[in-house]
This record gives sequence, C-alpha cells and structure tokens, in this order.
Amino acid sequence: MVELKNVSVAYNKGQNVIKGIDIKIEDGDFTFIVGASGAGKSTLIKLLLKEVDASDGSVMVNGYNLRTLKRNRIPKFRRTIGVVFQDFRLIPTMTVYENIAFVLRVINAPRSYIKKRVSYVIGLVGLQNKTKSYPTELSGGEQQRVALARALVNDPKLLIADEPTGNVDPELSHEIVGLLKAINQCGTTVVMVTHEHELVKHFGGRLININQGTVIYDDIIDGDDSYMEEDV
Amino acid sequence: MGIATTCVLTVSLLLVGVFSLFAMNVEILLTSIESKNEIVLFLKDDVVGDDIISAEQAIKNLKNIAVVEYYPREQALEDYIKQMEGYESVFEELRDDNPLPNAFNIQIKDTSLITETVDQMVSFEFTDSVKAPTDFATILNKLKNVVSVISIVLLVALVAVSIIMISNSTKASVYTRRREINIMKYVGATNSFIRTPFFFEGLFTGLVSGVGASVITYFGYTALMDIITNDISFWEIIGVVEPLPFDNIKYIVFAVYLCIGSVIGAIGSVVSTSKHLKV
Ligand SMILES: Nc1ncnc2c1ncn2[C@@H]1O[C@H](COP(=O)(O)OP(=O)(O)O)[C@@H](O)[C@H]1O
Ligand SMILES: [Mg+2]
Repeated sequence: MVELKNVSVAYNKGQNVIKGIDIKIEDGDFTFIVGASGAGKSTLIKLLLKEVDASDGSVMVNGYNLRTLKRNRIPKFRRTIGVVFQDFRLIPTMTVYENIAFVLRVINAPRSYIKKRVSYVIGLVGLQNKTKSYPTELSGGEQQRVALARALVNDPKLLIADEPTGNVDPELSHEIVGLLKAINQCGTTVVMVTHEHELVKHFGGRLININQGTVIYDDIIDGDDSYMEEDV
Repeated sequence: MGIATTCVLTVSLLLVGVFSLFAMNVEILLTSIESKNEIVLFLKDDVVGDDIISAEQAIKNLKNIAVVEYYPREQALEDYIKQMEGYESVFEELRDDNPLPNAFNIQIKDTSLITETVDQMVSFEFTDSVKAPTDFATILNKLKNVVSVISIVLLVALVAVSIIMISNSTKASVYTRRREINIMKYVGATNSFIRTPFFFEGLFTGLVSGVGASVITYFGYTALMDIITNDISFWEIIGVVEPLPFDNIKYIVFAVYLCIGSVIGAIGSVVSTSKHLKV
C-alpha cells in the first residue's frame, strides 16, 4: 500500500518539484501515472524508493514510514519493492540468468531456491531460450522483460515501472504492459509511469495525471478490453 | 583492481620501505659514532693514592656517566711508546721522568648533555683538564634530530600520498561497476554487502603489492650491500659500523610491507565506493 499525504519534494533546497500531493494506492491496484516531461513523475518514483526524501508531508509505503526510516533499514524496505527503469539497467557482463539470480544472492537466498525461482520468473516473461544470452544480444523488448523478471524475482508486494516502454518498439510496448497486467492479476500492486496515453486507453485502469508537481486528474478509466484476447 | 593500481601501490610501498631502511641505517651509524666518543679527564700531579679512588667515585656519582676507567700514566706511556714503532729507544729514557699525567677515560650516556657534564668535571678540585669532543657531539645530535624529523614527515607524507593514489585508481574500477552497485542498491543490498568484494579486491591488491615490494627490496638491498661492503676504501671512511644486515630484519620488512599494503589497498578501495553508495 502507498499513502502520500500532502507531500512536497525539492532538490537541493530549490523549488518544490512535487507540491503537496495526496495519493493513496491500495494493495492489488494497477495505477498509471502520466504527465508531461519534467512534471515530477520520476521524482515521485524516487520518493517511493526513498532515493529522495520528502521535505513535507507523510510517506507510507508497504507499511514503512519513509520519513522516519533509518538509513540502515532502507535495504530491508527496498526488498519489498521491484523496480523497472526505462533504460533497463542490466549488468552487461552478466547473462540473463545471472542478472536475475544476483538479486536473490544479495538477500542471501538458498542456492536451490534461487535456481527454482529464477527459472520460474524467466518462464513468466517467456525468455526460457535466452537464459545464457548477454543483454547486448537481446532486443529492447527482451531486455525489458529481463528487467521485469529481475523486479519480480524476490516476490515484491509493489512493482514500480518508470517509463518501461520508453525504449521499446511500440508493437512490443503492449507486450510489456500486458505482462505487468498479468502480474497485477496475481496480486502484486503495480505503479507504472508512462507518457503514452494510447497505452492507458488501451489497457485502462486507474489514471493519475501529474502536472508541474500536482495531481490534476485521478480516476479509473475503462480500457478497450482488447488486451484480454492478446497472448499474454 | 588492475595492474596499474598494483604498480602504484608497489612503488609507494618501496618508497616507504627504502626510506625507512635508509633512515634506520643512518640512525645506527650515528649511534655507533656516538658510542666511540670518549672524554679524557687528566688529573693534577698531586692527586695520588686514595685521592685517585675518591676522584673516580666522585666522577661516577655524576649523572649521565656510563663508564669510568682509570688510565695510569705508566700505562699511557707504554701505549705511547708502542705507537712509536721503530723509535722505541728514543723514548725509553722517558720512563725515568714520565711527562704524562694520570687520567680517566670516561664514556657518557647522553651526548646531548655533554657540555653540562664536562663543566661538572672541570669544576672538580682534582681535575687538571678535560679533553672532550663537545662540538662533534653537538653536531651529531643536531644531525640525529634532523634525521628523525625528516623521517617522520616523509613517512606520513608517503603514506598519505599512497592512500590518495590508491583511492584514485580504484575509483576507475568502481566507476566501471557503478551500474552494478546502483542496481544492488535498488534491490536492497546492504552497503557492507556491496563493499565486501571491493574490500577483498583492495586487500588482495595490497598483498600482491606487498610481495612485489618485498622481492624488489630484498634483491635491491642485498645488491647495494654487496657494492658498499666490497668497496673497502668507502667503508673505511665511515666504517665504524656494519650496515644493518638485511637477514636480521627481512621478516619485519616483509610483514610491514604486507600489512601496510593490505590496509592501504582495502581502505583506498572501500573509500572510493562511498560516493556510489548514496542512492
Ligand atoms: N537530481 C535532480 N536534481 C535537481 N533537479 C532535478 C533532479 N531530477 C529532476 N529534477 C527536476 O525536477 C523536475 C521533475 O523531474 P522528473 O521527476 O524527472 O520529471 P519527469 O520524470 O516527470 O519527466 C524537473 O524540473 C527536473 O529538472
Ligand atoms: Mg522521468
């Protein structure tokens, strides 16, 4: 669950780029965040990851109060969240399998569990045949699916995606969002930032529009429903 | 961490090591020159019998006295005549009327206090005169002080420079892995988890550099000693003392190299990760 109350954020004591925002996202929701470039979408994501701190208001994520969370507790908190970025952020010297498995090594998961779990999430994103490939040998869409598998591997309660389709061919964007929808159907809360309104119209869901650091629209919209027929 | 870093660290260690060895040898040389210094106290002619014994006691009661040795005039004359090899007969007649005074050969503990000690000796009733290398001792002491100050300053500077050089060259390796570090932070890795591989990498680099510096120092020092000890004329000039034989201290030198190397390597490496951990 995410609950922002009257939250403001400023970089380096400058002007507020988030200005007194109130957002509540329930467990199991699927939420699109849209807005123009520079509106503050990425800053909002950084706020949810405690990469930046609020200068005002209260921030609750997955039961953690981020304004009082101590530095040394951040790792534990972040293990409850999966993140996907526009630029994939895969490690080029590692294979697909290693890129995903290392997340579980970070949290000292048992070897046998890592093997089982990594194979499972690779299957989920449909990359069974690419486990030994390196990121540079994959297309943009495939790389983003690896990043998605990596975000899912430690079974997060909340999945955050910041423009996950930004570097992916338009045809493959649907595939990525379809995967996110399927993941959401299995109970994971999903927050996805995008500036592609077409995607939102197609899939539907909760839509939050941010403009210059404030929420200007927050409602549920219907999708075309056509994604239901797509092969997810 | 790379060959460049290892080389930089090896050179730093060598600078520290070579300089320390040099300073240690200078110290040994100075100390041994110092211990050769003798003060001679000549007694007045009318001091005889028991007065000589009480004079010796009076000298021994002074602070800063290491050794007092009575040197009777007869002995002095014998030694003198012996030195005049081939002309002994000329000096034989001196035995009937010995012109040399009775004396004490004295060694003091702390040569930096030589002036005060000599003044006290001169003020004794029984003293005729005192021969002491006062100026020499003063210069020697100044030299020792200068050497130890320079040693400390240079060593601190060298260690500081080494740490800076290491953290600079590890920055490159950290930079190439910043993406990895960044992702680790997002998936909830603790700082210590992220630092551990860098720590061991730095430690390993330090150990390799320590071994390198040890090998170079071993061969370098041995070769240098061969040259110096084979050159008799050079050795006779300053030749009051043997240079520090490397065998005696080699394990200390190796241990110090390995310790300093691994500490500098590990610290430098860990320090350079800090910037990238603030996500
Ligand atoms: N690290 C930063 N330091 C200073 N200003 C920043 C930083 N990141 C973003 N900003 C500013 O904050 C505002 C919102 O940026 P961002 O959240 O990245 O927007 P969006 O993701 O919606 O395009 C922009 O004006 C941007 O210039
Ligand atoms: Mg952005």
